[in-house]
Amino acid sequence: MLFTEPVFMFIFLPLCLILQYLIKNIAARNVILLAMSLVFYAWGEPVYVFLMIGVSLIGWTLTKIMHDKGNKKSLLAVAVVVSLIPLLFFKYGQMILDIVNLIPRVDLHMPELSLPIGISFYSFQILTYVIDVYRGEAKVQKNPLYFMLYISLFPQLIAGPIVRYTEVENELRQRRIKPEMVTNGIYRFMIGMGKKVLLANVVGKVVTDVFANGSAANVGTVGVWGAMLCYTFQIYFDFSGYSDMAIGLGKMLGFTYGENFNYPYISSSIKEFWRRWHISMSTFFRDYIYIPLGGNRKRRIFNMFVVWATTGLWHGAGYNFVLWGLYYFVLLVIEGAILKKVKIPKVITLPITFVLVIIGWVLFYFEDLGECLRALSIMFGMGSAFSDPVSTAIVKSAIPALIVCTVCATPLYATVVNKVKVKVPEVVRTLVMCAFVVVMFVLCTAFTISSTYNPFLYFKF
Amino acid sequence: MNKILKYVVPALFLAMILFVSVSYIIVEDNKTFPKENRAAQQFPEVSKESVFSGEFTSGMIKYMNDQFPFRNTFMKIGNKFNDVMHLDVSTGDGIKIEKPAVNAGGGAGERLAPSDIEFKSKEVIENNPGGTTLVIDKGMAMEYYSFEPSYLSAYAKSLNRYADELPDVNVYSMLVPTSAEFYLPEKFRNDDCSQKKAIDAVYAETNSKVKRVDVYSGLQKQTANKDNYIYFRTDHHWTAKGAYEGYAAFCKKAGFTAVPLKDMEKAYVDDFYGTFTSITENTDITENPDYIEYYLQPETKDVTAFTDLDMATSYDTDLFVTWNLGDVQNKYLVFLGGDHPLTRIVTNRDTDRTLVVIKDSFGNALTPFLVNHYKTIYVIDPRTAHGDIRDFCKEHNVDDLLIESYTFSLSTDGARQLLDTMMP
Repeated sequence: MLFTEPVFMFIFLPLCLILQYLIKNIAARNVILLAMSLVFYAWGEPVYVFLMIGVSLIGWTLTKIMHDKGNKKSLLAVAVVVSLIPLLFFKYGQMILDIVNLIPRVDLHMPELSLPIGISFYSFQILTYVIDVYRGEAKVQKNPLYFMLYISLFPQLIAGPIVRYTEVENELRQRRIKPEMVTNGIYRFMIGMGKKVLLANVVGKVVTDVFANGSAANVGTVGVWGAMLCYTFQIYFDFSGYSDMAIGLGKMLGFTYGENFNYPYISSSIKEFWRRWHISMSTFFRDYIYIPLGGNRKRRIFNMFVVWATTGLWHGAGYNFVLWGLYYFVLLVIEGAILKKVKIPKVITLPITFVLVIIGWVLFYFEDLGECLRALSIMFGMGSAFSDPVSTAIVKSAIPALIVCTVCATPLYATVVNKVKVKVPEVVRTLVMCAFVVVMFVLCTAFTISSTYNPFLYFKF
Repeated sequence: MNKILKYVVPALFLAMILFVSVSYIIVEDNKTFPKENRAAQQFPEVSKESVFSGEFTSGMIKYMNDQFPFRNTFMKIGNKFNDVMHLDVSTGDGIKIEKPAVNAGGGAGERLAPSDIEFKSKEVIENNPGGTTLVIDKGMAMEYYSFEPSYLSAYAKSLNRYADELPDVNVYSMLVPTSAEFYLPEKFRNDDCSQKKAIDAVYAETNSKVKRVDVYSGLQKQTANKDNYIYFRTDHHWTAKGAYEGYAAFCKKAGFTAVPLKDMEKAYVDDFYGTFTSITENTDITENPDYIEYYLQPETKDVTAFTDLDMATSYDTDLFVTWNLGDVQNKYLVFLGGDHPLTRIVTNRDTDRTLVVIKDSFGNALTPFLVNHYKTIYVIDPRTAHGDIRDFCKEHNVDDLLIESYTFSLSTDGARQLLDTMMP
């Protein structure tokens, strides 16, 4: 089930909210929310729902054993590895076998299996519990149902943010759902839906129209840059929009999740970019891989290499993704060295950073390395034409959308709203909020009921 | 006051959603979407198999999309938004970039048969400007005309001349009835407008060298079933499926084994507002377009058009031309790209046979099927081609010649005159 589907908006969500608001007993609330979250997941994965339940309960059990035996390091390793096995099998199985098949006369193949939705997210969430219990930062959760609830909470199960157990530990036991929080949640949810349906989908169509058959062949330089700019906006609004919806839904249910995006495209350095993009993921890698490896203190470059290779790999079982991760590794190392010696004004570094990010998305978009190279060479003037009429026209036709995207990718709107908000009486604020919610609701629904073009990019994780 | 205010937004949000949820239940389900030419998804089957296979959930998704209670209004709003977010752009070559439209992509997708649509007009007869009389019944517009025996006789004589003066060529005649013959309400029928009688009258006067292709019987059989889409409702032409009957009848006469229709790959052109939509104002016709289902012919190697029989000037065309159909109302032009003075089709067939087709526009939908039996097909439009058919047949070693006319052209002397121009 996706948040943008009418089944969710008009059947699942009202039922869920009404039940959560009417029932005051926390245990009853949790059990019902758990049941609904499982239905939410099973809706899209009627078979793999049992995998998710199984992996979670195994992770919970192994953590309990580890804790009871005094947090032994060896048991930590067991819990971590076992929790990662399904992810390794389903997502990276073929990739691993391809390497094994390099041995002469060995030719193994994975059975035809689809990737369970959300496995990259929930596997990592189980790990945050395991590791934080080990570190003493989280208390063991005695109730397996509550733990299941944490993992399967429908707002974040399918596409993040990667919510750490410690973020919801208290709210599992007690949450008072205040109307102000619900209002913020609704606002956030509608903003997220608008980003996804009104912005991401619109510019995303340019990308598929220009790169017919997933290739940049016969596209001019202008067309490739234009389409990549559209993709840059698409992936941001798609993913941050979904995060907004998740955070908004969490608030409606009494849970507070951390922010996942902070206007990444206004970054004036790559380092800053990664503090603003997919924050829950980059902090996960920092706290659970970089720091345990030694962080800044020993073998810094090697640790960075591992983190960025695995970051790339997490996004997809493909070498283009690893390349994408390592691209950022190289940039960060170089940037770190340069910026230590020289101070460069933001007015120069900001556009450079933005262009470097666009180039990074080329590696991300074209999963075939040959197509990747083709697109990059066209972008740098080594293509057959500077501008081919059809692609340039397609990009041109989306100019109004691109202008709106550019404005919405900056904090301008939010800053203005926050300044005006405090000067205005609460009645006016409420009325404006009502108008906003209604307009967004109508506009977005117009698109979600047609489902002609509604991809969800970060969905294959 | 503030105590109440903080509940306003949550209450409004829930109220809005519940309003839609309840409306889903109260508002009656859509059954078909005639403007999009497809059926609307109904509530999916609930069973263990359908749930575990994912069929129930995908059916539910389509159901919620298709049965959204305020669908039309919301789709208009969506299109307005798309309009605002995009500029109108054309490339230098005149290719226009279409603004994306919110159409109904989420539905069941089966195209409608004419019998699925509910039409209002019953047995209406109209005399329209320009002298065209139309009968509109059950969503079908039909041209109404009657025959003059002298014209029928002259046409037969012309056919005889062709057979006599082309002794080395197999001369075939195909007379194609129009939809009026099979769908005209009883009260409008009489002997003068009977197309069967007209066809019989022509063939009563043709000699034994003229090979008559009986396409009437096949069309009669097909049109007896109301679900068969044999003729367009808004246009005077037959559909490609109707033209297939012509092909099958020709094969029977010529001794070929017709390729079964079910073996051919289908393609579609939607939103075909046919000739009658410009003539009548009846909304059954003007607001319910046809769609064109056509059948690909992979044996086609090359299709070239020429400005005349001397083949001095040529230009590219194709068996089915779709790239410019977005701007064009007469989407029937998909067949052969319209009428060219001379069209040459070269195929990959392992044969030496050459065919000439002298045709009117009905022949455009028919010719593609013939690709399966000839090496070369020359399609001649006698309205614009100039020359002597006898010299042409000698020069190009023509084996078979098919003269195709639809019955309307028998109601005037026009068709006969055109045939005679090619035999000066």
